[in-house]
Amino acid sequence: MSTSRRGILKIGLGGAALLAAGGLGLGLWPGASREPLAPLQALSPRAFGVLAAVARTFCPGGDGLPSADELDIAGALDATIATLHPADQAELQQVLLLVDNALVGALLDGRPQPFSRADDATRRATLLSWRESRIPLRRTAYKALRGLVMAAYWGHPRLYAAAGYPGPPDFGQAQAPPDDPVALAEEGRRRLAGDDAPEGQPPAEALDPVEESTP
Amino acid sequence: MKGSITQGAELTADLDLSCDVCVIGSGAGGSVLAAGLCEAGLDVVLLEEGGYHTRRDFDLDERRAYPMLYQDRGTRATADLAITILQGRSVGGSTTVNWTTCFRTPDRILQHWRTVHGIEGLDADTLAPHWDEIEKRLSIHPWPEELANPNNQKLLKGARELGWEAAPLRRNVKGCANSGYCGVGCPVNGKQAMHLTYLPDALVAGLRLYSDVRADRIEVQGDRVVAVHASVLDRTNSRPTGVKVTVRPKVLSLSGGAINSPALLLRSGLDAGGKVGRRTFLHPVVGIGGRYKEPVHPFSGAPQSIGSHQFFDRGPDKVGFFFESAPLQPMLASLTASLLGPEQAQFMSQLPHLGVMIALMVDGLLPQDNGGTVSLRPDGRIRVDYPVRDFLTEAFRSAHVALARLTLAAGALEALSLHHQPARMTGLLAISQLAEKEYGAHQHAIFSAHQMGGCAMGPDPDKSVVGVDHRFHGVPNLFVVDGSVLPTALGVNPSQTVYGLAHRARGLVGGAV
Repeated sequence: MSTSRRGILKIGLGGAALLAAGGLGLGLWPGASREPLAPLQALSPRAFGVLAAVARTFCPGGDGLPSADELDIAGALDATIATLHPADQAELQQVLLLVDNALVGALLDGRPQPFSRADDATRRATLLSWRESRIPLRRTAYKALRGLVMAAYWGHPRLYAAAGYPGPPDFGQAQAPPDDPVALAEEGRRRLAGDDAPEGQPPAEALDPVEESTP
Repeated sequence: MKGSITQGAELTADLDLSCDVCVIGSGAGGSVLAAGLCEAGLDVVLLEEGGYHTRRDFDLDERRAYPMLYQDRGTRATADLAITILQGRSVGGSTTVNWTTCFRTPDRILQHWRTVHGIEGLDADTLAPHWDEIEKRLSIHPWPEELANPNNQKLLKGARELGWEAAPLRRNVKGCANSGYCGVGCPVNGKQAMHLTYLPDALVAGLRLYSDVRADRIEVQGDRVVAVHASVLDRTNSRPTGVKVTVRPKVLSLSGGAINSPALLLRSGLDAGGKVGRRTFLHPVVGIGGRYKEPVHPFSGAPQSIGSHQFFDRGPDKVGFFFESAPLQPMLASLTASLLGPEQAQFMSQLPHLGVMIALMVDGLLPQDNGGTVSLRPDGRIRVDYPVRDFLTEAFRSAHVALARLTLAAGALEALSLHHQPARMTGLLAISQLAEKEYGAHQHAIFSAHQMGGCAMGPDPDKSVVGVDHRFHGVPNLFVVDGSVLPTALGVNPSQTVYGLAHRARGLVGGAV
């Protein structure tokens, strides 16, 4: 079976050794310090700690931005991960442990240590090296972890202002009456009969809700 | 109302249903087909694995919308994660979340299918009556140029500056608020998605629609489908609740879309000699950002209203591409770059002044282009592989150059590639940077919003999965009616082609009962 035959969040287990680059089996390293704020739904405490460190590296905050820790991105992701396919959850958990076992400092300053205990600069350099790695599995792991973290962080309403985003407009849709299939089908019949020409313009007041809601 | 909508949470005991036709999947194919069958007086059961969601659920918060309305809770991708696959999953399928762009199937593609794939009987004349009816029912019409949002205006301006073809796009909308949130569910019922059009038509004519019910396996005895075995899913995590649904139809139409339809066939042992899942096409998408002096607000206004097919045909040995725009709400925007830390924050802070133009690669037309593959993992999960071969790399490279020219011609202060280390181009001379960049998997963002193929149509059972009549070769009461039958990509947004094929297939499927 080739390394690409099985998935870990579509990353193959066969690639574990490559991913860990010699660090495999060092699961006895002390775990990360970050404690979950709520009972974990999907991840082990150790995997959670690694995810928190990964999130902190992708989204360190500063310059007026909240950090991933402040927004509890790892906690939000634990809840998200709990809704994924059980096999995806297991593999994601494995990726996180492998990240931690990659002995990230070894090539940088000769002091091998788990990712979750490395300093900011080392964690950042590690992720960047994975992004550019010649090892496809490392690029895949970078993309998987980046996607999860960035989506949770930049999708958070606390970041709307930093992205110059006014937030979604409210059309009162939550209070709209339920769709009525009979009326919708009746309207369809009118259209097919040609009694209901296509519109040209939307109502003027609906044209640019952003302009109205921009602070 | 003669028909009914039953949601998974209402199903607490196993069900055993008989009917004339069972349709699996409520997207562009399954809904148009089901409406026609019900109106012809047939008894139809439709199974949809996604939930039944309407505008009341569409709060436009990306964090909720993607898990609720997209495949794999928004995480679908190729196995190496190089290509992010956006594909809908709810009652209405991708029509609930698509960006409303509608095209008739291009003549050039129909001709290619005729000459290369032997498909007779699909031409502009035979399809015309189907187009006419669909366009009326779904209110498909050109979006007025003056209502195009700034992001699309830039595309038009750039193309005009360069003397390239560009034109307003047609959209299936009525009472559109021009809000820009098509991709997370229309909040004003402006988009004429299936849950507002063909499904109501089917429901008043007697359709029994079941949401949150996943078809696990098709049971075939001899050369006939005898049953569909399905599981009720818990909507919060898509896991089986333990309640089973069995449907015993006279005829089955598989309409789960490219990727899911081939996967169900494979789960059922129906692999058509290894052809099922092969030739899966994605219209792989690359983009270039443009930073403009004035606000562009790429999160606002109809996502796509201008398109250009200037490079649709780049000669017989090259992959063509076409240009459109993409909406950028913050979560989706954050995924277009590969940056981290302060660089990512800097990128995101420019969002209001950022536009993005995209190029969609027309895959499957070159003789050596077999696209990607859908297969099953040992634990049953779906796997999509899509190798980026040299002809696609060349197209990515050419598309980057063309997009950068377009962006600068549109007046951008700077054109930005979506590479790990973005090329930042402030003038035409700077475009030469793109020559030094690498292209392909994990070099820059690649997306797919259009999934096609995997159950290719054709007259020859040795080269195709279904006949030109949509009938699975060798199983006369099994039909496939969705985007998976397309033998190549389309070179245009696929929804209308799927509506059209399904409209044409109504008589073919109904006639088999």
